[in-house]
Amino acid sequence: MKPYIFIAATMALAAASCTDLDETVYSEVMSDNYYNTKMDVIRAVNRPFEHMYWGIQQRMPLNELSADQIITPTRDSWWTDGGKWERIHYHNFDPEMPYITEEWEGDFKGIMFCNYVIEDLERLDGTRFGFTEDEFSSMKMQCRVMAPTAICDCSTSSAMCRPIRAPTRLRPTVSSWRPRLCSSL
Amino acid sequence: MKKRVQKLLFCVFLVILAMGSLPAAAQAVNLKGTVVDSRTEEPLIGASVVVSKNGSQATVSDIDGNFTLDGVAKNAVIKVSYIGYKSAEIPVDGRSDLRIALTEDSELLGEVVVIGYGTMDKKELTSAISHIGEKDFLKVSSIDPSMMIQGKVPGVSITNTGAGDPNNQASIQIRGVSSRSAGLGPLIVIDGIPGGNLTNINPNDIASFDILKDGAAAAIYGTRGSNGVILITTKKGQRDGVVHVGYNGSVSANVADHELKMLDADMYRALRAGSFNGNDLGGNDNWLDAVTRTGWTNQHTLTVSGGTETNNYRASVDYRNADGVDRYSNREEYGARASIWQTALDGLFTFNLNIAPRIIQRKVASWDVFRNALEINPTTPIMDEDNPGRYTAILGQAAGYNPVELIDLEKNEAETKLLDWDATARVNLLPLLLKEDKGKHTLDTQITFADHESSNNNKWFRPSTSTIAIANGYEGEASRSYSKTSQRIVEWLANYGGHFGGHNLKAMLGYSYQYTVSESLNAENKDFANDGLGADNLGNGQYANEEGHINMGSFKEDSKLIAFFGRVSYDFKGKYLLTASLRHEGSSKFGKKHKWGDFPAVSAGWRISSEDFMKDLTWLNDLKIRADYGETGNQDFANYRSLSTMSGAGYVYYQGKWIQVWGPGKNVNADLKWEKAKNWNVGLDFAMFDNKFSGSLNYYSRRQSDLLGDYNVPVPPYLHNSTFVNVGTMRNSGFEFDLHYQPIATRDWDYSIDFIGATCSNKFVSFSNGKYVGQDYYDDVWTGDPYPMHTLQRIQAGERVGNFFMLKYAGIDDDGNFVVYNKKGEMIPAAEARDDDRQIVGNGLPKFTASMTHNLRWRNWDLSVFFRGAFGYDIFNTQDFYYGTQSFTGNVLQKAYTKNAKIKGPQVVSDYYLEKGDYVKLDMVSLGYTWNVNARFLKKLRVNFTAKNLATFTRYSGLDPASVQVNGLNPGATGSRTYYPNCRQFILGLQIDF
Repeated sequence: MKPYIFIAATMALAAASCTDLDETVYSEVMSDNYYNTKMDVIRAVNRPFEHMYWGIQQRMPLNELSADQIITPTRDSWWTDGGKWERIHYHNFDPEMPYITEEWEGDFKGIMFCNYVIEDLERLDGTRFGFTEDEFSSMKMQCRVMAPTAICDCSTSSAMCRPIRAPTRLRPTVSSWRPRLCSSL
Repeated sequence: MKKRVQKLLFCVFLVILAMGSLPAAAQAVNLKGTVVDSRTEEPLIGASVVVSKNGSQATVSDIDGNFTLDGVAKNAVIKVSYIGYKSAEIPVDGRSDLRIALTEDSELLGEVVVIGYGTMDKKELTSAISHIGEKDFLKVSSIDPSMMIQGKVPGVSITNTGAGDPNNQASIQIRGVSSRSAGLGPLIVIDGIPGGNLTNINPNDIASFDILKDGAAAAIYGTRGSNGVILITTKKGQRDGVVHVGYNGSVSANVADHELKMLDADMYRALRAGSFNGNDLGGNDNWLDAVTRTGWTNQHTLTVSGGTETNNYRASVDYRNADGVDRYSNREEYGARASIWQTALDGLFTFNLNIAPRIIQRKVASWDVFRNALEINPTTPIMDEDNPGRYTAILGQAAGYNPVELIDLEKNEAETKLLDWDATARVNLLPLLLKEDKGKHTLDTQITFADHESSNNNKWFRPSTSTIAIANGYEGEASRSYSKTSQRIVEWLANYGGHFGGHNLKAMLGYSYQYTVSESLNAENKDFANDGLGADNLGNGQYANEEGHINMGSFKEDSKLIAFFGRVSYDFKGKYLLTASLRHEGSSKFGKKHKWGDFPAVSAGWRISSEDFMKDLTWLNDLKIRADYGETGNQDFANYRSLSTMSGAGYVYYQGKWIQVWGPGKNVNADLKWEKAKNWNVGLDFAMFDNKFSGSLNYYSRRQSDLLGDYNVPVPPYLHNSTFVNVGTMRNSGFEFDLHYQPIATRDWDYSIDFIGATCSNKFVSFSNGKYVGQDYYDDVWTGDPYPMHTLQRIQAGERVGNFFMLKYAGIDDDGNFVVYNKKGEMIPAAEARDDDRQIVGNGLPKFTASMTHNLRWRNWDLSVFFRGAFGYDIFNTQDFYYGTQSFTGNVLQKAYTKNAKIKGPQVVSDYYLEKGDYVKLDMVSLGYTWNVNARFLKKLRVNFTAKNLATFTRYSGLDPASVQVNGLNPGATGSRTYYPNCRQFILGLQIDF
């Protein structure tokens, strides 16, 4: 009896490791193992802020190059760039119009980054990381305010912020999506 | 009286003595004999004569075919064998002088073909496997074994875009491009161990290649089988009881062929200087000559091998030093390979060990030096006349830097260490289970452990005196990086074989576990206090002191691959053949729900020539038809792509300092799974006229679905605008033929021809599936400065890969501007053309590839001539596009002022630059002489001279069409001007058998 139990036990052990395909991550961090220290929370909360700072680069060419104050002409054989600067200047708004996709995506990414943070913070307990109740809910609130700013800020500055081609045939999968869109869109 | 008794006793004693020695003399003989060829009566030199069951009594026949063996028992049996002849077992029967005539084995050599996890007789094969033996290898002086079979196997496309660079490897693609993002290379298996490294095999150690082309053969390798499998068998020790020592060496020269005719200094002064394109800088140097040299290579291998029926060994040591055709690159390596095979315990236990270490020192080429040498203003002097000792700084030119300075001053070195070893222990289970072995069954089990280790240590340095460093504002720049990878494999197999009347059965069951881990570390710095430090004292640099400079990084990842597999082969009297296999495999790279997959295969064959109704057809030696179906997969892509991870993004200023923010790094795809390929193949193998004419024909069709790739997804609802998913279907099909004809085979003359070819039909069936519906096409192959933002090809659903999608050229108007056709077919000035006026104007994937080998032997001389070619495709002449018209800002081709003189306007991407790529290349002419010395210490000497890449017959006016990449998703097109010149190669080789 004993030898059979021993064989069965070793085989079960072997079977478990013989077929184990779990991954171990080294230079990246898995999302379900990310929140461990106070700085981890702060970095995650600041992600949408960092995006807001950089995600609006395309507004300058869209707003200014389509107006009459500045243009980007061709110099010798440089700066033709497939005619993209011409399109903005001559108002040739067609599916090849540059920067529209970046604007659309930039806006919605901003909303989603905020939502990810709100979702994560809502399932975490702030005191575990050393935050006070006030500090924690303040971070959540700031993200709630910032989400719609992603789109509203754009629409108030220029009528160029009108998407030419509406993508998406798939339904959204983010569960707690509550964008508050401004009425001008 | 006493004296007479003494004399009698003495006589009796002598008689007894004489009688006593008689039986001893009667038991053994001193055997001598001659071994000859039964047809020509010529003596066979070096035939092995062994006393059966007594391996220590062995000898070899001499130059006259004679041999002697002393003390052979009268009732012994000797076994006489010679390569290419049927072995004979002859009982001694008390004779002391024998004449043994051996008959040639007219069936083709290399009859045993290696398949996945086993071997099979060529006659029993039911799938499309190509076997290349040593006599068909192309002579090479490079490190890359794939160049030995380039063009020799139908359906296997091998392209080397830089054959003159000693550190460059060819790309191999079997039966068409099969994936968008997963790896396209076949699995390499060396002596049964998968995952081998082609750069760690000395070409002299290779005995044969077996290439599993179709799905049924490759399915036994599951998720690594989609791109085919190349099985390499290394040479093993002999079993004739004699120690063989051999030396093999060669010296070769690579000579660059500069095909492009650019303007030289005087032409440039006359035609272009003074315009906005460049000034007369007063020099007359030939830049291309200054960066090129003849690449000399020498290589030496020493081999010792031997063995008997119960053990054998082979050890080889090699050294190689190769210079590239650019003046910097070099490869110096030394390595060894040893294999030991030992049977013990009366055949119960077998042990096998293979070990191959190699150390390689590389000087890495910068391919761009050739491009810069072409584009630079030819009146630029190499050395700066105002600053003696300094190189001319290249500013404001199309050439980015001074290529001669880069070669002379910068160091880009790497040291690679490779170690591949494996050990196998096999137990023959029959003696343990059966009391009596009737020879009808075989049953054994074996366990193998294998380890592949490789490490790379790179360093790069640019001194402060370099005008490039000065232009960047640094006093010297340097970087170091170190990476290593380990792959460990454990495999357990059980084999059974049985014969029941005319029925033969073979079964195999196995388990495999493979673990791969890699890590790397890199650091860089700039502004060193002294150039003498080079890259060896990175801490000294001042650049890293400044805020915001990190200058280092490290990385680690691992993955696992586990499989259970089995195969059953059945045949009835060698006439009706059936094989079926299944592999259940899991990879850690896939999403949680799809880690495991099943890869079945079935193949069947019918040897029609063995049937009774075919017996009268004496001209037909062998005829077999076969058909098979198999499913394979592909998991050759990056790790961790299905996981949800957080990763760093930019920086924000938070409470007094900059911190890095972290957020969701990518879109998650828990459904990530392997690409699945369904392959089927029908084939015909034949041999006729006494095996003088033989060959194989195959037709295959494969369909890859669930192609892995980055797929554009909409934002929202996805966070990032691309996700790595399975979507898309590709189909490849084609016809392959492999013919061999040997009209002459006599004592003095041999002549044979091999002709192989393959057609390739490809279609990107669809980009969408039920879940992701996307656009039907995407444009690819982007051009660069100064004509950026154009694409050359379009990959479209329902179309062949490699379609050129550009404007169609109509002519040049009087002002020198391009005129093109719009989508209605009307001629319009190119400036008015829109993107949707573009159309399909050609295709870059060859429709038909073929090669032909002629082998001729006259007595001891042999000559081999090899041609290969590709037909039915177009190549975009990138060099003409950039350098062929006057509007380019750097140096231009002479063509710009001759053929294209009337083009004065801006450049347009159109099919004006698309040319037919069809070519026939005289790829190898090899002449050799073999000298059968047969002295005491020297058996055979062979000298061989080979010339490679001698001539190319083509209408294509650009670079060598054979160096244009036709594997992958963008065949025939590149938007990049970087290239490595085409080379002719001359090899002188010496082989000595001691």
